[in-house]
Amino acid sequence: MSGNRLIDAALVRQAQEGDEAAFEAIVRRLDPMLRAWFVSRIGQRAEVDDLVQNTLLRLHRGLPDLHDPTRLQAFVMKAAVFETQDYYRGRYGPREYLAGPDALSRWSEAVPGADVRIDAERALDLLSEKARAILEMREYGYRYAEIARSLDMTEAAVKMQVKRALRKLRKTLGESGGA
Amino acid sequence: MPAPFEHIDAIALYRDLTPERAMELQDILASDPAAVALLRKWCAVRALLVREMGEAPADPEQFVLFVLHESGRAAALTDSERIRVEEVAPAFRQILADSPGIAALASDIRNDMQDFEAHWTAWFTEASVGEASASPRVSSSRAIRPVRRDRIPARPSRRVPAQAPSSRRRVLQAGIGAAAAAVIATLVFFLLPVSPDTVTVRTAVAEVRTVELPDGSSVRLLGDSRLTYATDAMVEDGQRRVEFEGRAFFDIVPRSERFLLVTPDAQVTVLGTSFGARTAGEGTEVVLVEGSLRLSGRRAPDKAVLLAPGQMSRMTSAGVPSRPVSIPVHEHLAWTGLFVFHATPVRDILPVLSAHYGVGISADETLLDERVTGRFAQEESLAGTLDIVALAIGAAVAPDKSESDGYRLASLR
Repeated sequence: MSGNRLIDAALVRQAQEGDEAAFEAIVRRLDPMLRAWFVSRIGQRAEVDDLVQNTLLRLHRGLPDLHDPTRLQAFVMKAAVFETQDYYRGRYGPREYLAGPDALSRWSEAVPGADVRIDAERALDLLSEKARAILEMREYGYRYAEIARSLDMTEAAVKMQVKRALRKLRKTLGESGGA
Repeated sequence: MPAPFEHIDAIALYRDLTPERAMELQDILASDPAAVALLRKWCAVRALLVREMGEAPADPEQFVLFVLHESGRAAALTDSERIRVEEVAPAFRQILADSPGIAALASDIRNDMQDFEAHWTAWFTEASVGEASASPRVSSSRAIRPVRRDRIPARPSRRVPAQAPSSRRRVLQAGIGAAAAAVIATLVFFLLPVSPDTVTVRTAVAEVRTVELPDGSSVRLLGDSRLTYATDAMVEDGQRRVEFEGRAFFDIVPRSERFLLVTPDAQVTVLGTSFGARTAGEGTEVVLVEGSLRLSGRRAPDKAVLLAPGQMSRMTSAGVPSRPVSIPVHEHLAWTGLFVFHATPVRDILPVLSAHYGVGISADETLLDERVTGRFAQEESLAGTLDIVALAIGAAVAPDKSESDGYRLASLR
């Protein structure tokens, strides 16, 4: 294999059978490829090291389940996409919830009454498709920066959509609160 | 005093506030039952939204597996994953049809998959580059690293990964090209002789960093840029000297020593001033905001031009600077990530803010010719920026009654 970047099925099979040298050879070939891909997705950030490491860890754990060694690419792709999604959802680096949900929980987490639930259903119907998409993506965990990238907007415009949604819903929500 | 709309905006982003803003909101909630009611209703709306998104937010990995499965990549799934996905697929398909955000997420995941596959193919079908290709590491550029010649380790010459073949997708080329360039840049950085006691700051592709220079000047360094200067007083031959390549906005403090900015094709001499410079494209381009500045080619330093505030000049292919022309500074410095206003009329500022934040902003007729000088980071909130603009021109920010969700600057005079 020396001098060749390719990872053939025989090498994968050796690694699956517990040959540590074979697995290390696979890692040596995958590491720079993964690194280049993550850099192309998120830029040259410190988190790239962790993304590569965790992708390889997933591969190490999942390799015994790979029935067809020629399918290594799909297997590595799945691991890399899992990690990329974790990154988009703020699982790497500082959390975006700077204040933490706890700080406001006593105000926000009361069980809503029936009237509030009905208001909410009515309000949800009034959301524009774009505002709804943004709120859904945020609830899924995407950071605002990633929502902006995905929807081809500026981060400020994404946040503005959220604010506008609440201001628009305010009337439906019973004119209560606000400035 | 916060602008009138800040209160409700804080509730809208209640989970994403800085600690200071969250504390402000807590104070408001403690004294305003109506605000509490609105927050609870807003939470109820979002909770309902989550319920309608089914299992996708609760189990993101399952959702990724579903997207893999649905886009013809079932081979990536293990047997147990496939069985589970086939169970939940009908429900996920319905969610996908009903939820625009989930549909956008699926599209994002598919894009990453396709990009990864193209990247893999390009990487592993490219000509073999030897065993050493497996080990070069793209060093992080986040830390500012002083590099001294006597600390540079002896390194064997290594080959680096080849760039993607020309037939691949452009986006892929950009990715691999950037990575390979980073590796090459890193190696060059270590192997070439480096003057002792210099600091080189590099930014990654999407990174923006503010660098404080030893003389108190500051540089907003944009992505994929490089700045080199001497440590200590950074003074050489009676002048402050900085080497630069990329894109940056400079705030130079006035001192008796001239400030010399050297780019690959030009040199910029200033005393105290602020200006934007970028070296990408045809040649170094300089836009002056304040002070005065002299621009010349490195090969013909005697053929210089003097720039006044609001003027731009660019190095030509002949190696001399173009005649300075007056330009709208805020338009020509939009790439800095700043709103740069220099005696800019309010009538020109409002459309800029309106386009960036996606909301209508108007002003009383009497305010439109008022001029504003200042700089605002584009990532700042609209409320913060509008507040300062309003303060500068003696106005107040209010909801615009004639336009839904818009704002109006109303004169206080």
